[in-house]
Amino acid sequence: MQKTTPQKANDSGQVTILLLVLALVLLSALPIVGSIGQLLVTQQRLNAAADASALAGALELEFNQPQACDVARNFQVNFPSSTMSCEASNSRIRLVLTLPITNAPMKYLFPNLVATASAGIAQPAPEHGID
Amino acid sequence: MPSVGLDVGKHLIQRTHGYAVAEFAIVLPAILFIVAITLTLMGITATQIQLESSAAMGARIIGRGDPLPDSYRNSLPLGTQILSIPNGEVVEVILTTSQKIGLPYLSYSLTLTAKASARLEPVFEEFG
Repeated sequence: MQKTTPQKANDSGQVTILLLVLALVLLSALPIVGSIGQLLVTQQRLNAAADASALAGALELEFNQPQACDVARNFQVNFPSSTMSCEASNSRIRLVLTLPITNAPMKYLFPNLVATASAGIAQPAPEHGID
Repeated sequence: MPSVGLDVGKHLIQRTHGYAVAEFAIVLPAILFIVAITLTLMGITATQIQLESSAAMGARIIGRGDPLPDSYRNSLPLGTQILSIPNGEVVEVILTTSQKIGLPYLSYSLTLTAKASARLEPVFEEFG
């Protein structure tokens, strides 16, 4: 009976291929990491801009309430491509800032960045005090 | 391709082990380099976010008419420059810092800047 010995496979180079594939995957992840970082920074800026606009508008609530939203809109200059929706009452202003994303990889995942802010003043004292 | 060597009895043998380690050692620096770039990018992003948040907070403090407290200055990254520019009813705060990236002896300094503005609040002086 003839005994057959299994042929030994040549394994050299397999680890190199695996690690090169891993390196390519990591390399392609770099732009994604950069884009996510840029997105986070933009969201932070948008939040700060929304807060500042709400506070600027809130300064008008006491004596010039109809103009509060206009003041908030005029104050918001850092993001000219953004849109703002604003509601103002006697003691509170609330606004939503929406910024469309234009970067190619991220705009499909996050088409818009949204920041919400509200600010207010203390309730005005009643005109007729305690008798 | 297997290499050749001598065993204990001085017989010529073929060696096939050790290739994986050698290949790993060749490719490892490239992977470590990519991981280092990723970590550096994440560090830069974290510092930039911290600067943006601090700039907004600083503008708000100055807008209220208060001086920047030491606790605020100490919370900033080391060597951060603070610039406050009043412009009519608006005050603008610009924070600038430099972050070193790269190897200790082959470093590159990157300048990060954050800008925020706030409306100056009217100051009511109390009499009496």
